[in-house]
Amino acid sequence: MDWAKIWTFFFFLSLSAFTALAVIVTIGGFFDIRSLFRDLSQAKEQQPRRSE
Amino acid sequence: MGTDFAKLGFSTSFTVLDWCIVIGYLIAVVGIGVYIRKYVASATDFMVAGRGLKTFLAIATMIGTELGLVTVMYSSQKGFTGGFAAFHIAFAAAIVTLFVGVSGFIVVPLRRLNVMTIPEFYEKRFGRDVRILGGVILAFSGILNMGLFLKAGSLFVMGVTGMASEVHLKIVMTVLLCMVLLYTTLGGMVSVVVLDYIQFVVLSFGLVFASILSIRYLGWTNIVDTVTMEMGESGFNPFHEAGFGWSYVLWMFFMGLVSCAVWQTAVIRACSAKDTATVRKMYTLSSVGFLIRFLIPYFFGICALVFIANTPSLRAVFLSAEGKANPDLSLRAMPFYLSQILPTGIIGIVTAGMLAAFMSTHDSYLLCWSSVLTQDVVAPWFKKGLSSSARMLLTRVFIVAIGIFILVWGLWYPLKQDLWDYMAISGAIYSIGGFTLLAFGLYWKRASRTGAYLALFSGFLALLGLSKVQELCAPMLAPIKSRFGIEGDIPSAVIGLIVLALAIVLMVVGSLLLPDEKLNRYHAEREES
Repeated sequence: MDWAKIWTFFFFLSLSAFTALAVIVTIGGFFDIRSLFRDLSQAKEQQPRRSE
Repeated sequence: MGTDFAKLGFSTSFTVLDWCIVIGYLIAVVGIGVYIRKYVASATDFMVAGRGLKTFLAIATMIGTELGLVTVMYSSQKGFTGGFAAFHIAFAAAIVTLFVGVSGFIVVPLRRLNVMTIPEFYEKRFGRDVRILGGVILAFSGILNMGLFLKAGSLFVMGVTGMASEVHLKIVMTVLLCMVLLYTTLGGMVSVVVLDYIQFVVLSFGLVFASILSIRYLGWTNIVDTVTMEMGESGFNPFHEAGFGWSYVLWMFFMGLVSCAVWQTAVIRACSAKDTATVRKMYTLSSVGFLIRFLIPYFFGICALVFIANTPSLRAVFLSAEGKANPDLSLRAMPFYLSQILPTGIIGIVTAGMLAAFMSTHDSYLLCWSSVLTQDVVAPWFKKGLSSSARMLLTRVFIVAIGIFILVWGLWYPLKQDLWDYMAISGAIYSIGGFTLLAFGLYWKRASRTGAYLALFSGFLALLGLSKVQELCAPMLAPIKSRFGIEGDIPSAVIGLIVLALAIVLMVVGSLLLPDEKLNRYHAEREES
């Protein structure tokens, strides 16, 4: 078994997959943060009303 | 501690411009963290971000936490000492995380139970006393585990900036710790996830860029040839007994499972996710992140080895006649290497990303262990429970206390083994018992409280894997070593596997011999659902 070739293939495949994932998560994460802030703000506004 | 590489003719490319980038970036990051506190309204917001994390943000925060500066440091050290064979650890982490994502093993039933911490599950399954004991062991193991984070971070700063004075460095690290404490105590999990996201973006692209630059600088063929010359077959084949060996590979698969499904800092992400479908997606996609968080730093460690092995004056400092380096020096190899190959400006961005990663790991870990102490150790003693504001105050007090502890421990403990092995074994004090309780508690109806106690206590035997503890127990271990012909320390992987097997046996035997008399509330709830 040629471990050097296996690890070479494994390394470049992983690096490519991670680069693609990083781009997708960067874009998707930005929209998720906006949505999280919106949800938390709404929950905070509703909290005093519930206690009333 | 400090070897002054400038005296050997190796000055760092880190300049005033890089300092400006680093300081500006850190101030901006802390400012954002403090600003976000306005969104925190309750203890649930503070500890699990209101359970509102969607898939991409959950992935970013999961990878952001796990891809910390400490991970980069201990992994590069493993790459430096183990060569390409260390890649098997990254492979094991990815396979196991993918398995957890596809099967939902442990994390999906945990999310379904709506718990915030793992000991909370212990209470539902085994009772309040097991929760308190589990919380104490989890916090003890976790805080001990992060005890050397500060040291690793300080060695990175020294290596990259070319600092040789230990005093200056301690001041820098203390300031960094204070900044983390500031925004973690104020913003809780909401700050943590947003900063994790920023750190994920900066560090991901920084690491990919530095990898490409390393390949261009050293040449792939040169890298492979040098590792072959320095380490031979054991630098590539993970099963080779002169390198890692079978027991180590097996231990790494277990550690991979623990890192993603049993370790509280990862599990808290699953508990923060919107629903179980998000949990599955998060783990499946994060498997690439769990792979890369080890793989790229291993590669940097290998590159550092190649750079040093091909430079006679550095070889004399870092590598002994047998080609081995002591743990402190092998930890410094990667940052020193980066300081030599990265150009001015880029090294500032990478360092800022690394320091943000350092802070991001600290904030998550501080929040995690302080939440465990509040929720699982203190709160159960109050029959009427603690109010949301009391919980938040107590969590903040614990955050500061743990921060002070790691500052002291990081500067005091003498590291005599690879940092990764220290972390694996200190984490195992909890994770061996934790894995057994989770796996058997979730999937075996007959698992009892007695079995849970025995499994939890057996985890303490993992301490024998630490070099310092083996030194203290030398007379006791001598007959075992001579019986099996072991020279030097008993490998930590062997100790970890034996303790794991023992914990499982004790859980099964304890549960069968002393079963719980009646179905507890946990079973009733599960059957209802």
